[in-house]
Amino acid sequence: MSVEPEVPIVQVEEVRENPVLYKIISSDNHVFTISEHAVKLSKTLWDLITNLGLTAENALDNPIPVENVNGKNMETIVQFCERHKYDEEEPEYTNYIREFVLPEWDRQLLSIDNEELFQLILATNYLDIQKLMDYCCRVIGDMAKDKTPEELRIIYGIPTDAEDDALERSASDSPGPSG
Amino acid sequence: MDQKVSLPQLPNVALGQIFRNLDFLEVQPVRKVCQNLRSFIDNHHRLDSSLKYVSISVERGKFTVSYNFSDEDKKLSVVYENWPGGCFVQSQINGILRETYLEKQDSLEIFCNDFHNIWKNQKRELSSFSVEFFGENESSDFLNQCSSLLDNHFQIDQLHLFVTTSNQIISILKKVDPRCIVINNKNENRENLEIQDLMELNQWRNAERLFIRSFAISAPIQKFDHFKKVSVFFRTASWDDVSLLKEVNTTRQTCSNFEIFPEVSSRSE
Repeated sequence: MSVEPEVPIVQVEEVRENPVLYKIISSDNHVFTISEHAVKLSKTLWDLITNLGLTAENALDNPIPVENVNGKNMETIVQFCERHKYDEEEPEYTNYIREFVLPEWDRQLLSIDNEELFQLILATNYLDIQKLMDYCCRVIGDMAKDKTPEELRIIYGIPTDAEDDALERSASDSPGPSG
Repeated sequence: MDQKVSLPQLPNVALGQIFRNLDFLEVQPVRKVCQNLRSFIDNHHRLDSSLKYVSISVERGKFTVSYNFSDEDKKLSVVYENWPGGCFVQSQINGILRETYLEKQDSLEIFCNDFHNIWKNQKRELSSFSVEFFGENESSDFLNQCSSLLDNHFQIDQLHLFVTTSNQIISILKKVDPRCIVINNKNENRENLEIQDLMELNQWRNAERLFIRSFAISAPIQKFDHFKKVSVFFRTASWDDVSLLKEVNTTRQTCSNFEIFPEVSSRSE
């Protein structure tokens, strides 16, 4: 048995605030704990929590199942929300090119392969986390700068129109009489 | 196991957000990646192309186009040229040179697709549009395309045409709205310019300035009196014309400036 003093899991400011914690279960049954301020960044989760009537007392006893998001994405999402839970609200963007600078911490967090990034965008879209959506889209958008269509096709893993058609044909064609 | 996802399968809200990070020129290569992205961009993400100057030169099987944008750091120029069995495209975007050979493609068709996509997204006034023709009979295919090619109306300050035959003028002029029309005869032979059809156009009536160089014209002088500034070459001018001009000049409130250079005729009228 270890004699080390017990280290609190939650961060100092959480203790100070006596935070409410929620439990989330991913599609592959991983369990995550997230603070109230962090979970509020997800409109979908916060609506759910409000509708379920979860309170500080019963939150940890009622884990929220999220069937559309796997553990890997949920881990990134929880990290992101905890990191940004005290951020000030940003003004609405116009239609023009964004001038915001992507913080280095977030650039690191989103340094994953494109397929994973697309999956993360789908999860983010489902959970409705505007800031994470902005950041993911910035990373994807930046990749497109100064590229040819051929280079983009490879970067974004897109088949050519011809390949796409062939794929669709082979998927929809049922074996029939030759002729 | 999650299903494989690629860019075109993302929801529209995400695609819109991604492309908001790109300017008009940066979005163009994405448009060419696949049908899904092209239709998304054309339907949901149309940016103003913000052109300032555009110039085209038309040769046999070869089209050179140069776009200058309101943002002076942005520049695009492209050469489309028919080579045996296909089309060679050389583009320079903000100084970056790219060359592609497109098998079994035609330079006019590729040029028209690219040009139309940029032209149709112009939303504000264009400072200058210039078209230069090389050769006389090589431009007919291009001229046939003009009506669909220039199918977007916005004000143009100056239209510069460098032509070798008069039919090149009307095909373009009837599709644009210039304040100032400048027509240059590349043959520099002062041949007669058939101007009757041009004078029927709204564009003729709406323009404020007219310059016709190296063509001789003969037309009633009244047809010119709405221009604030005119520089043309009449082969002959009657006394009636001259006195009318004088009258117009003295009665008009606006400052007008007619420059007429009649040729010294051996016949006395």
